[in-house]
Amino acid sequence: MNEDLSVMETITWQSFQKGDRKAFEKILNLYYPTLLNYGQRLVRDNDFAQDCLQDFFIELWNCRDKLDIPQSIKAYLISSYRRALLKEKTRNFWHQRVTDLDDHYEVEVQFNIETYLIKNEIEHETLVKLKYHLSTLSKRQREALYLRFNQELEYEEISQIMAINHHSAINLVYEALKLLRKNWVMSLLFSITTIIT
Amino acid sequence: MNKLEKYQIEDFVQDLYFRKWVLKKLSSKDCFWENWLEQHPNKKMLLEEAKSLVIASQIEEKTIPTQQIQQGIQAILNRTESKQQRLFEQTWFKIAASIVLIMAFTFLYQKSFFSVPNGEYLVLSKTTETENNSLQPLSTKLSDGSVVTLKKGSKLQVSTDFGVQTRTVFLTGEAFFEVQKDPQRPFIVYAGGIVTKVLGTSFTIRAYKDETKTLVAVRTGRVTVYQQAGTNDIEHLGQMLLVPNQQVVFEKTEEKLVKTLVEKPILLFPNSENSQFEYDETPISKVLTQIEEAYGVKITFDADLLAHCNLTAVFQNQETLYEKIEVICETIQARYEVVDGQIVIYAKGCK
Repeated sequence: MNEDLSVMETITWQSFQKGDRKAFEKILNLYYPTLLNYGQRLVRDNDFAQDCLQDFFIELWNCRDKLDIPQSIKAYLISSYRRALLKEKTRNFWHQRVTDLDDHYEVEVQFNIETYLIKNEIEHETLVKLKYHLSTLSKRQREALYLRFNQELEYEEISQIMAINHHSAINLVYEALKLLRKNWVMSLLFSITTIIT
Repeated sequence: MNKLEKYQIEDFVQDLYFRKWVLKKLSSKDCFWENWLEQHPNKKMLLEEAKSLVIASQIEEKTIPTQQIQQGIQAILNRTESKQQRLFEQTWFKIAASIVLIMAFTFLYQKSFFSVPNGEYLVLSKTTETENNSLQPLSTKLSDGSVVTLKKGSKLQVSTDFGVQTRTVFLTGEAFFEVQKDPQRPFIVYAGGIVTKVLGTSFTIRAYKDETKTLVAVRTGRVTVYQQAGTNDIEHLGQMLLVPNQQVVFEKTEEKLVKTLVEKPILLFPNSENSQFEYDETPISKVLTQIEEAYGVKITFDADLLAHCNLTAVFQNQETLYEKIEVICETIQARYEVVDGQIVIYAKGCK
């Protein structure tokens, strides 16, 4: 089933490269929401993420005939957009201090359990403790979790996007999960049994 | 499947197929996990724990209004529509640019009109003190022919023996100096805790009393900056030589001089052949050396590492030095830092 999907995607991509507007629209409908969602987690300014995304797609259209056929269109778009976004963000920053590109983004991720606790007015102390443990996750861990769980990408693709090696990508996810399990989930297990059933 | 039997909790949680099952995203016909559980009853606890972790560690989806998404997609489609569309945009762009240009000229005309009363420079006698209380910069010509342009709220004092052995002035606030060449009599500026000594150059000093920093930025020529020991004393603690496009920042509290680059380095000879930046498979080391000469800014890099790196690009003149360096770094997967008035490139090398 997955194979068919990727063949379909490749056909769409090739028509897009030949200048087919319908194919371009199809790609936009498929990936614009996903990318916007991701971009708005990387930068705090939603409008900024959106402007960058529009410029990104316009650029994509303008140089469509020079592009390769990526193995996974989704991963390709995410990683190119991430680069464009962070570059634009760094440009806004650059005259203040030149540091590693990676310092200029944050990853906004809220876990289901937080919302659940807030909604059900679980006692204050538990929430504070949980918030603390969540904050011990690094932004790279959060991003890796997000790419794996919400974007459902393979580790190979995650490593490409985050510009790290395959092994580090796996480690980011595993370390984050271990941290979560050790620190809070088990102690809060019973407060969430209601959503499980 | 042997692999699954060895699975730990984390392995299950990160497994996309398992997650789909927990989150009820699999088709109802797919009973793989139910069957597996039946065959491995001893794994029930493990699986339960993994299930709760999947649910708890689910990341909230942001909801973006459909309307906003539709508008966004439509905007992209419109802006990539046809050539006519783009031409239309360009016409508008041209008109807008013309208006901006006219406004800029008007502004410049007014600026020069205000700063040069009666079309003459104000010539100072030797003991004077000049203060600029207006909003426009005020240009002052000293008796040796040097011109000092004072920003608003800045004050220049000229010592009584100006031009005898040295040419000494005192500055509070910010000013741009264009100093006449006179190797016999150095031009010395006391400002914000530091002493700046030049023979004939142009540079800016920023030394407001209420700011914690003093700054000297060099446009042309060479400038020497000292830390000031006594008020009239040129016994220098730290000494630093600055060349064009470098600047020095003096932290008043820490009493330390730090050399950096100016915010927007300019080309030393904008019209020379060396200020064209067009590359076709040019070795990176050659590119960097040319940029280094064009801006007079030292660029440090490992020539051996970059031996196989090439660049094909055309830079426009309005692109700043930093933008050029950024593009190069992007191409060769490197990063850069500004250290001690130099640009240092950290590269991994190319295949």
